[in-house]
Order: sequence, then structure tokens, then C-alpha cells
Amino acid sequence: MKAFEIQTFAAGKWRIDSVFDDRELAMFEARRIDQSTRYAGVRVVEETFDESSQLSTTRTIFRGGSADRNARAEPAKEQASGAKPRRNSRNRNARDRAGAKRKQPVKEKKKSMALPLLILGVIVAVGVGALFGLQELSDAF
Amino acid sequence: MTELLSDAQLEDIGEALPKGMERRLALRLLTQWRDLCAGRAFPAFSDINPADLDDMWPNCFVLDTEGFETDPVFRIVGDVIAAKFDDSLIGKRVSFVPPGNLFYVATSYFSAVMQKEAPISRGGGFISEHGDRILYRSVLLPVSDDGISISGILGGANCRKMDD
Repeated sequence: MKAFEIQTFAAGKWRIDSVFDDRELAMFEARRIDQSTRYAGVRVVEETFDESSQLSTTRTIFRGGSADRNARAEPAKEQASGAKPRRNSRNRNARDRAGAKRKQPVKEKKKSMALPLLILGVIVAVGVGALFGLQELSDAF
Repeated sequence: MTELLSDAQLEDIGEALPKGMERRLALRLLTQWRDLCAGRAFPAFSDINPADLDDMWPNCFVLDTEGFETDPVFRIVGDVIAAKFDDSLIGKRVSFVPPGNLFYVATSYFSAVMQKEAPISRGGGFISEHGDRILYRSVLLPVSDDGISISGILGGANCRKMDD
């Protein structure tokens, strides 16, 4: 048994818009929703339920929406203008943000290493000073 | 007994509408339902105005599910559907409808709508009580008075006899 679920993306989440038992009708309606540009995203998920195993499998058979269109249009536009293919800026920004997050602990690590080094430096300086002082004393007497 | 048939065979179902306008009752009613939602998850009973549903209304019905979750009650029945029954369906349970009837197949999946909390459209074919092969398409749309839990279902269905 198959069901075709139209899902729409709005306010940061996907929700079920409607469910059809007919693929063509679901695809027709999804394209109609897509053309209306009412939602940022629209997709059709085909759900197949196997009664013998009581398991269901899903696959997306249609993707639409302005966000998806923009993502597809960007590389095509760059190729047409002769520019070198560039990584998706949204993904790059995401990676940059992730990188910045990763760098944060490294900075903290440097800070935490500085303190023991400073203590060690002071101990060495005090030790050398003490040795020098003792030598000075032994020379005096 | 229902037999699922290709939806392409159902395209002729619908009223005589201007060329280019969506003819299928299920899709037209779904569009109307989305407009009634006006940004909410579900429309309220009070949002349903027969005048807005225009020529679709005779093929529509409304089910009450609050307190009747397992066997909803007919609250409103359109003229085309009412004409198929000798007695009034209003106030009667869904289980009252006998098999081999458009209403039987059109209301058979109300529990799936309650579970999904989303409109569902199903269609196909069935053999009528007179032995005719009937093609149908139906849609069930959730309605909520509090905007959270489903308190009713707006439905629509139409059918035609298949040529021998």
C-alpha cells in the first residue's frame, strides 16, 4: 500500500500538508503549491507499507520551493558567466561558523598552558636567584 | 468491496467549470480548506460557510468527532449525498452507512485523518449495491474549534458509474 504525503516547509519546520493515494494527483498538487510560492519548501514523500513485514519505507519523489530553487540556480548562473565553480556560500558560512567554534577550545588550551609555564619560570628564577644569593654569601664569609 | 483504479480515469468527475479551472472536487475543496485555515493548523466549524463552497457544497458533509472519535456523527450532509439515502443521515453514526455506497468508502478512512491531523484524499472504484461499477474520489479535511485538537471533519466526495 502506498501513500503520497505532501509536506510544506514554513517557520523553520516541515509539516504534513495533505496525503493522497494517487501519485499523479499528489505531484500535481505539489507543483501547484510550488508555483504559488506560499511556502519556502515543498516535497512529496512516498510511503510504502509492506503488510507482510509491517514495515514502511519512505523516499522523497519531489522537491520544490524557493530555497531549493535558489540553491540550484546559483551554480548554473556561475557556470554561465564563466566563473570557476564555487562552493555553496551558505555551506561555507556554516563551515566557517563551525571552524570558529572549533578554534575556541584551542585558544582556551593556550591560556591554560601559559599559567604552568609562568609558575615554572618563577620557580626557576627563584631557584637561580637563591643559588646566586648563596654563592654571594659564601664568597662574603 | 473497493478496488483501487488509476486516477486518470477519474478526471472527468466534476462539474462543468470554465476551461483552465481546477475541476476536481477534492483539490478544489482542499484549496478552499487551506484558505479557511488562514495561517492556523485547522479551520473552525464557524469558518465553514456553504456560500463560500459554492457548487461543491451539495457534495460535502461534516462529521462531528468530539466525543465520537471511534464512530463520528453526521452533522451536515449536502443535497447530492442526502438524496442517495431514504432517511436523513444527520445525527447518525458513520457506521450506519452500508457498504457499496459512496459515503461508505468516503468516510472509511476518517481515523487516518484523526491520526495524521492532515487532509487525506482517497479514490478508486467500488461495486455498488446494485452491482454497478462506480468510480469515486473523496477528501476528508480536519476541523478544530480550539485550533489544537480535531473536533470534526469536512468531507467531500463525488462519483460516476463506469461504462460497461
